[in-house]
Order: sequence, then C-alpha cells, then structure tokens
Amino acid sequence: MSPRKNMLSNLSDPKERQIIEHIFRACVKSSVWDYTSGFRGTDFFDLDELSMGAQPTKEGKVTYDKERAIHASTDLIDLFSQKIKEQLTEYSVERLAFIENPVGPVGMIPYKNHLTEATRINSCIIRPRRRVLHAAVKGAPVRTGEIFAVISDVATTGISIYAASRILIRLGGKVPVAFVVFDREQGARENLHAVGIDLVSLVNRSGAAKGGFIPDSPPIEPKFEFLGQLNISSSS
Amino acid sequence: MSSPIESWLSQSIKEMKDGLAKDPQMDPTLRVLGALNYKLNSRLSLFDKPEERCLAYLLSLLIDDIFVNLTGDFPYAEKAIDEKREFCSQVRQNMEKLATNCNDIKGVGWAAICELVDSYFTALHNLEEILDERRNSL
Repeated sequence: MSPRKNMLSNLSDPKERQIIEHIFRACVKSSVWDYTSGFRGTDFFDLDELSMGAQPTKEGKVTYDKERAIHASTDLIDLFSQKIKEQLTEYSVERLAFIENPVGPVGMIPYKNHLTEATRINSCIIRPRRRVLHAAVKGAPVRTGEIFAVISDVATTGISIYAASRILIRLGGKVPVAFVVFDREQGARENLHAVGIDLVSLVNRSGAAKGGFIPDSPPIEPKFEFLGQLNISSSS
Repeated sequence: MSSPIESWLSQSIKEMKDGLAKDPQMDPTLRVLGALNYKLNSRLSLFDKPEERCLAYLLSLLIDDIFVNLTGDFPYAEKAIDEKREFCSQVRQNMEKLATNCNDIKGVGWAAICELVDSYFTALHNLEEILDERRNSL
C-alpha cells in the first residue's frame, strides 16, 4: 500500500497547476467572511462559482461564462476523480457520500453524478438537518459494515464532515476517509483523525499559498479543536 | 381586538377542522400549517409587541423544522403514517390552546408552545423507533 497522502495535487505539473490555479481564481473570494462553520476568514472558497463559469476581472468584478463553466467543471472532476481513485481502492470504499448543505454553497452536490461515473462507485446524499436518522440518508439504505468516503468541497474545522459521518456510522456504516477539494488547515484534519477519519484534500492551504493562489498569510482564527468543546470522546 | 397572531391561529384551526369535517381521510393540518408559516414569516413587521413577534418567529422556526423533517421523501412505513396522523391531531389541540392563550404568553400561552414542541419531538422519537423496527424486520 502506497503511503497515504494528505494533499493530492502535484503543483509542479504545469497542466495540473493550471487547472488548480483556475479553480482558485474562480472560487476564492477575498475580504472578510464568516464561514458556515462559524469561523471568520479571508479566503471564502465558493465552489459554486466554478460551475457557473466565474472569473474575476482586473477591475475587481466577476464575469460568468457558460463555456468556461463547462470546461472548468470538467477539468475539476477529471482531476479530482483521477486523484481519489487510487485512494478509494486503498480504503476499500463502497459508496461515496455527499453532504446536503442548507447553508452556504451547494458544494460538491452538482458533481455527484460525474464523480459516480468517473469512479464507478455509487453514491448517497447525507441530510444533516433531518432529525430522524433513517430519513437522513438519501439513497440505498446503509448496510452494516458498508464503507463510505465522504466527499465535500472545503474543510475548515471538520464539523460538517464529522456530523455527516456520524449519521452513517450510527446507521452501521464505516467512514475511514473524507475527500475535499480545499483543506483550510484550521483543525479539520486533526479533528477528523481523532475520530478515525483521514482527511485528504486536492489542495491544502499551504500548497495553495506556495502556489501563489491565495495570500501566504496565517488564517484569522487559529485551529479549532471541536471534540473537546462538544464534549465528544474519540470513541463516541 | 385580537392580535394578528391570535386571529391567524384561530383561522388556521378553523380551516383544519373544516377540512377534516369535509373529508376525514384528507388531513389538511400540514397544508394549513404551511400557509400559516408563510404568513408568520412574511409579516413579522405587523407585530407591535416584541413578545408577539417573538412568538410568531419561534412558531415559524418550529413549523419550518416540522416541514424539513416530516414532509418530502420520508421513508414509507404504515405505522409512520399513523404516527404522523396522531401528531397532526396533537398539533390541532396544542394550537387551539395557544390561540386562546396568546395574551398570556408568560403563563398558559408559553405552556402551550412547550406542549407543541414536546408533541413534535415525541413524534420524531416514535418515528425513529418505527423505522428502526422496520429495518430490523427486513
């Protein structure tokens, strides 16, 4: 088994770098933002913008182009699925789980069918707002011992991924890994690792800063260890 | 003169009862709740008193949560349908109490809201058990 990687992209590859640079140019919004995790930051990553063909102009505005939307979305999915395919086999993933997000960007949901086709692995949607557990997974019922990979757009603290994973685990499934496009490196990897979930990103903050896609400055808020705050033990 | 929320609640209860009387098989409770929610949400500015505005706001949040969790593609089970019917019956009773005690928001009115929330979470718990039982029997 090859060593498990945290960041999958190879920014020294010109074609890969070009794709990722385009993703960040379309999706990262500067200024000060309150993320859906409750964190405050200066790099709001809105994946929805990519699927709408966004591109900022020199004058600071944004233009939306249909052709750009198609190409950019295809490039992202091709790259993401190529990178995660090997990892899916290593983790013996049987199903992909996408998170329904009632707040903020729609995230990876629009790419669900494309990823299913590219990876040949079926999927489901997790609906964290549902209070009845059996109604919180859209798709085939969870089989006992079934192995899932959670797919999301961004990881900040990891709480969203944790909450979605908990639903699958409570229904009898296993979640050894979560894949995201962008890891902000604000605690998500550590928090998820503490509950047995590996976080693997296409790009992380350090890589993006090194590549010049985002400013190389520390985040406004430090890493957040939520398990202690929520009084959750790693065995729960 | 009754407040907007009192008259809306009374009107909603009347609609629910009329609907049931017209066709006992078709429970209009959720439909009427949805319409009430629209009024509550879109006309919060009509309420002069902060307590009434707060009540309208909290009630709309609750109805919103009910819709997210009990409507749409909820897993099918015969007993779940019965449970939802029972819950709707509780809702009508709780709302009637709330409508007649809106002005006593700190006393009986507040107790009526608590009972409504309690009915909702009891229904959720029962539905979870029904679906657990169904899954284990498959």
